[in-house]
Amino acid sequence: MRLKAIVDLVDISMNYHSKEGETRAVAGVNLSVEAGEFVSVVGPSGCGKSTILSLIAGLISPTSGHVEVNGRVGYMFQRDQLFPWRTILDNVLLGLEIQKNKSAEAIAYAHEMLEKYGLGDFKNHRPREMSGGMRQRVALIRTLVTRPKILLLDEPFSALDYQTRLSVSDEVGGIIAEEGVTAILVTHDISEAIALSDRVVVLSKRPSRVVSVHKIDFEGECGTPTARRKQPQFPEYFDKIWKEMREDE
Amino acid sequence: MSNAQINFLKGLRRKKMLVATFQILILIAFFGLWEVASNLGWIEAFIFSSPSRMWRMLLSMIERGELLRHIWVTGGQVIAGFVLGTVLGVVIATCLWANDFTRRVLNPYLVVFNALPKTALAPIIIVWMGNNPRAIIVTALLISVVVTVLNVLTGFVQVEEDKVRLAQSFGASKGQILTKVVFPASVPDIINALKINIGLSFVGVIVGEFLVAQAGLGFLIVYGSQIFRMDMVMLSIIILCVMAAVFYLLTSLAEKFFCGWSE
Repeated sequence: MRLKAIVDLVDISMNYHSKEGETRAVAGVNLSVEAGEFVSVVGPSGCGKSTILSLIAGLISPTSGHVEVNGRVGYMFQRDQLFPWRTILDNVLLGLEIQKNKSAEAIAYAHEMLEKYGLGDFKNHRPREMSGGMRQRVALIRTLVTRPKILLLDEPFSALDYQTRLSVSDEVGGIIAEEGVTAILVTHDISEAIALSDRVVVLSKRPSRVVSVHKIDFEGECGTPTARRKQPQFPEYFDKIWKEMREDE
Repeated sequence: MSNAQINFLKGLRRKKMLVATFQILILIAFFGLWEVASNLGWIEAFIFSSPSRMWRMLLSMIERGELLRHIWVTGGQVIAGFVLGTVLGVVIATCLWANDFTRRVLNPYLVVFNALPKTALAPIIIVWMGNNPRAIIVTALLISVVVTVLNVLTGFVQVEEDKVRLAQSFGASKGQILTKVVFPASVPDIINALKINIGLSFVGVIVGEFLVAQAGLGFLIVYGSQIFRMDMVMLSIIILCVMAAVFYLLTSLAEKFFCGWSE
């Protein structure tokens, strides 16, 4: 028996209109994500990956097809988008404020999350006083305190330098696993996708459709994304996905 | 702290002192030269006045108790024009931000109105509003309001799109996007508008006073030049300089207070 999907995209197509003409960005994509899963969507740049996240978030509607999302969605962007005029704590409270849900309990949860993930001493700091990695962690907590069921990650590490990127993806991967949210990551970095996900969906270049889906299974499931990168199966997955993306070109 | 660091800090302080010293020296040299030139008859003191004559004028006007009244009148009008112009400008910018259609429709009018020298409208305003301080304030307001609208609107539009999308992903309404994202992000632009508006408000008030006033520094300048009391004219201009400096300082303080984060 199949579990009920938390996100279900059925035969989604998306056309953009501009003065120059009509562009078909997405052509018949089917994607179903189960609760608790970590799914990555990879594809060449400009292939409409972000479009898929915007569709799930309900920021745009598809030209045709059906989007079903069962649960609140949280969004994490390429850059942390912390508000420089707010302290870290106030940044984390932004979502609650907008949703008019600043109960004592919710605020306590925000404090708890900041403490839990090593940001307790920075509550009253300004974002510019913090490193890129810490800021991205704050951005994740800002989303998590609104208790989303589904987390959409739009290349959240691409603005960081390589070393920070590895450690932050470990941290973020750890937080997501710990809090048990469903995550959908969009990236053009194949190894990042393999290191973090249960499943990798490969999209073709625009108009994008699903080329293949890879279930990522490491023997004796091993914690962090960095540890996964060292597994012997890692390069096999990488080669397979990379080849598919190249053949598509 | 290492010796090198101490020397470095000392050097910094010395440079700062040097700059300040020269700034003050220029002021002293300017007034000193002016005084000497008029005493030695290089320039005609009756037309060009001199610091000592201005000083005597200052004392006698304080004694008669009229100087403070003139300063008060001009200052009050400048503040009123400046505050009203800024507030109205921000309100209009907000409306235009909220309604893309209106913004596109009104854009050419704004641009033309901005290019128009608003002081040209002062006589009309005086005819419409009468010979009173209200007309002066409206003149000052008109001068600053369009620049404010344009500057603040640019700030609003330039807010990073992902910041707005972030708020939307939390389910923010248009009003919340304004109050939580767009408005606070544009505070530096608003403060910038304030800085520009102070100067503009002075222009409006002085022009207005030239045309109608019974009091104020603009009135003193016109009155003084008509009765050939150049001491009065020059003194009024110097007081205007000081007032402009004080207002500018106040906005700088506001800037430090409200946008310490944007550095």
